[in-house]
Amino acid sequence: MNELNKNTLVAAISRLPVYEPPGQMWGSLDAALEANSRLAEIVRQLPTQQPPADIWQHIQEKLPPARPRTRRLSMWSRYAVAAMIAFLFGAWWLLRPGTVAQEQVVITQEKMDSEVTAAIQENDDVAFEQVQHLCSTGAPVCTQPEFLTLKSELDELTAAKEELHTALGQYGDDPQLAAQLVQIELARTQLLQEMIQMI
Amino acid sequence: MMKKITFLFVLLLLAGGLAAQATLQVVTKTVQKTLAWKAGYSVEIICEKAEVEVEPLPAGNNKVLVKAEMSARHPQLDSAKYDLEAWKFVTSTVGKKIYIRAYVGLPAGRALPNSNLKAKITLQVPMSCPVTLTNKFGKARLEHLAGAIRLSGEFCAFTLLDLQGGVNISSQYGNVDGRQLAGKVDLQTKRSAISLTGIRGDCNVHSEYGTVAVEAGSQTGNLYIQSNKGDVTVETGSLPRHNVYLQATYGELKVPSSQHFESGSSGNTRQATLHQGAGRPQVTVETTFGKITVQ
Repeated sequence: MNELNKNTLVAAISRLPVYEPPGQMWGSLDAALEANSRLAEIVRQLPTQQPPADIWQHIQEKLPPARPRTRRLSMWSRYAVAAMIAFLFGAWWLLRPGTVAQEQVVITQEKMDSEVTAAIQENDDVAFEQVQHLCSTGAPVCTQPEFLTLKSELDELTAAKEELHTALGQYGDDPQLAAQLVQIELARTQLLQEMIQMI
Repeated sequence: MMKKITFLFVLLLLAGGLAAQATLQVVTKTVQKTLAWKAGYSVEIICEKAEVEVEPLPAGNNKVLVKAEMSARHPQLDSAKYDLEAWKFVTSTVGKKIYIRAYVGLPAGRALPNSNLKAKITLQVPMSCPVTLTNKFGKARLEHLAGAIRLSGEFCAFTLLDLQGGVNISSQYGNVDGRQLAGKVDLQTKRSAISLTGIRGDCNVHSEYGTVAVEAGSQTGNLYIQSNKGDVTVETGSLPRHNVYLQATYGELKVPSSQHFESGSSGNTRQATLHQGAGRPQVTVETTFGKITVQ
């Protein structure tokens, strides 16, 4: 490869500063090399020791029993082992406490109980709205403490009725909740009668 | 003739439509779980629109079995399937509490389900396991348990049978029917009818806008009933063992003539007392706008 700016490069290199090592550097390097060669000489002069013959017997006794030589598994065998491990793990995962053991979805048909749904979906009587309207127009009776107590009770029951209605929805036909709704309606009616007598 | 045929056709269509409306597609998801349990652990069930049953496992079973059947009912199958996804069923163990939750959970922006949603949760727990239950819109039945029971419900009827570890109930718009209850029984109810028999310990009832009927039997301890705008009936039997104090404000008192009650009144309050002897358990009933009947 041709150097395009060879002259510039040579000129730049020639301008680089030149450093000399300190004078004592060679002395310390020489001393280190001398120490290494002396250490190697000392090691060569060390006596050679042989272990007693029965030491191998003791070592062998303490070693764990030798494993039988493992055979290298083929690719398919490895897959089979992996699948088996995955299956066992999956089975443990499903059966361990606290884990879903079973989950299933079933579709069936049911007939709606028309009588119950009719009771649930019955419209509110107009008189209830009239009482609300009366108080929104500021009728004097609505300032009477006794009337206010009754109205507060009525409002509470109306809220409960609406809550129950929402919970049952359009297709709710639970007889027990429907009976509860009827009870609320009876209590509301009784309150309404008491309030009307005061108007 | 043509008119008649048209009329019949319309009738048939209407009949078909009505029939279709009356049939609901019910999609039910059933989940069964087994949860590890140790002595000292308690179970807390938090659910809604659920019919819950809790019963004991045979002795030696250190686990809790839960079966939740969550359903969505709608005339259209697709809607029922879609709404079923709103049901969430979660169990978790935190410290010594096993939580079981079944609720309708909707992601932000998703409309409320049109389907009628219901759940049936059946639990089998070790007999000594304390149980706490919160339910709205449904019912709960607990029987043959020895751990402490704590119940809270709105529009949830409670049926309790043979509970030995004490019961604490807070209920609104949900009736309570308890039989064979041992330990301390505490009830706080509003717009609920209460019926208690076979009480074998002390019992406190605070009721508003609901009837209360309690049997004060030979094993019943101190019984205290406070009722506002509701009638109270106490059944003592022919040989009452309790001392009795009754007080009705703006209400009537009715006691059996065969028992020697001392009666009195002051203003709008009527009282009656039956003294059987010192050291006997006490029945105290106080009502406002409610009738008290002893029979």
